[in-house]
Amino acid sequence: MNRVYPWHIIGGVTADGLSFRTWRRGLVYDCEDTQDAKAKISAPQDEFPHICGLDNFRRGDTKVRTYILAAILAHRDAAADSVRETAIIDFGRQGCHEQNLEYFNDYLEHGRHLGRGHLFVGTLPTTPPCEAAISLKLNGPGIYMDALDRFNVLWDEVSNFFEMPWIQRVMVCRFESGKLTVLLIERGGETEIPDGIDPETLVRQTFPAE
Amino acid sequence: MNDRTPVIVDCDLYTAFGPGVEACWNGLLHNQAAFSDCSRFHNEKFSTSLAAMAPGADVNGTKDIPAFFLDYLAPTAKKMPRDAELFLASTVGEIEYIDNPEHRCTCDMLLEHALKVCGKDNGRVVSAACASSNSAFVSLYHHIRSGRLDSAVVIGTDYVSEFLFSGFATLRALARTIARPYDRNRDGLLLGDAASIVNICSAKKAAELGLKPRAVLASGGMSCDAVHITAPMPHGEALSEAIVHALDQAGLSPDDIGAVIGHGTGTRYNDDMEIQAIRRVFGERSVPMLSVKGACGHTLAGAGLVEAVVGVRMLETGLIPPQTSLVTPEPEAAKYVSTEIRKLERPRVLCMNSGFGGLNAVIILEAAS
Repeated sequence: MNRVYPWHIIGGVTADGLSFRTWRRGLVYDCEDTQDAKAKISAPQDEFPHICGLDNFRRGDTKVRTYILAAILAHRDAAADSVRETAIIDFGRQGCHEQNLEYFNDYLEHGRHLGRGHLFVGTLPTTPPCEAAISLKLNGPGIYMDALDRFNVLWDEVSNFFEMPWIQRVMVCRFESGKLTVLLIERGGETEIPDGIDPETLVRQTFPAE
Repeated sequence: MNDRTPVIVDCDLYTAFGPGVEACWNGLLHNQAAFSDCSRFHNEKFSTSLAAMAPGADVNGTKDIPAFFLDYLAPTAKKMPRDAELFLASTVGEIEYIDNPEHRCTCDMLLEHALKVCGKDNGRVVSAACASSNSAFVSLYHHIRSGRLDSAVVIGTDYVSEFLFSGFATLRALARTIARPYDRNRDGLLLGDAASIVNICSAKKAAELGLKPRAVLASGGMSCDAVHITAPMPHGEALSEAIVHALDQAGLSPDDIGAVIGHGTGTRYNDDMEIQAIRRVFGERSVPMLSVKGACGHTLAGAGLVEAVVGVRMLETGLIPPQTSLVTPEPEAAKYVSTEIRKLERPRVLCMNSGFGGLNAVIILEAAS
């Protein structure tokens, strides 16, 4: 059964490895590495959004960098600047398991003494969306949620954020098997959501490729 | 109170003071700190060996600590219907199983484990660093108010593991002496075990189930600093915004708040930021404030649940526990904290948490009467 929600999708991005595609405008960025991706995606000065800072881009791992760049592209796809009243929800089951292993193995390899701090910071599943929030100055709530892939929970949670009167947009992220999907959703309008649909399928259905 | 008002109908916790709410509550009232030498792993290379460990939790080494905690919390969880949604606040879940052959996320594993042990059909992990518990509360507040959910079990747990201990040591965040929130000579945090549970439902559902409200979840607010991944916003602007959002949502003013349970980790940056945020919202008023982390340590994702349970007891007893481990208050904090038990003059407690990523989450609890 479809459900109708009081919001609408204004932009969407998928990143398969370092191949980025926006679904509303059909922009494609095939990149060799994250520095190449940063150069290509942040270069157009006359395009949205205004980027608050990529000074610490090198701080994060590939996953963090992909989140930052996909968040920028979701705004570009919507042809909209970022607004600070934007909430972020990252929805999945993988959490930061890879990053946990990387930190702990590094700690063990260094004789169970001090590990590397930046690797420990990466052991929170909210680190990638928060780094995206820093780059775009998004001051709304930020959470990671794992509901064992009950996707209706995700869409309800988006509506939940809009119960907060000051929230204007919600950015939905989902990282699964090396593929990241980011949707930018705005308050108002109506969207009919098929029961149990995942973000990637939804963005493809919302903005079908020509 | 109307049909959709979220009410707390039951709670329990297990901390370094032992099992039960009263063990922790009495420890706080008697100004006790529950830290001891941690022997769960080799820690001689770190700046401290102190942590607040739950007695009896590591019956079979550290691997079964989450299972031990879930077994303890299960009877309270089972007081709620099977279809009550389980909200699980955790940062690393069953981290001792990091090397699991399925290569699964240890939070995802803990959620499935919790659903089984607590007898619930559905649940979700809510993770927002040290603001996880309060973020779960804020989410649930809106779900109940909007009618999407009518009952839930909120569980928050993290525990002292080598993974977390070494990580905070790496960041040089651990205290070299003892955790002293809001003290001029504070030099860091100490970690602690916690497993807490709060059963929440709409006022209508509580009446249907014959459950008496112990407190009202009156409101919640959240924000993100969006400034730095580990350091908080120096002047606490985003945290103060979260507080204001919570007050606005409930139609309250700062004068309606009787006390604040701060995040109060005992790190210099966090406590300074919080005091600045409090001053931005409360102006010249000396709103009573405390942190439980000087007594039972920083329990990470579980911190907000511990604070909520303490908040419920503050509302029920009309007492504000003293600030544990406080010797010389930070000058900016001196008007808010006390080493004495104080009376709660107004029937609302504001609880706030801030975590890595700049995540802030605030809830307001109100007396049930």
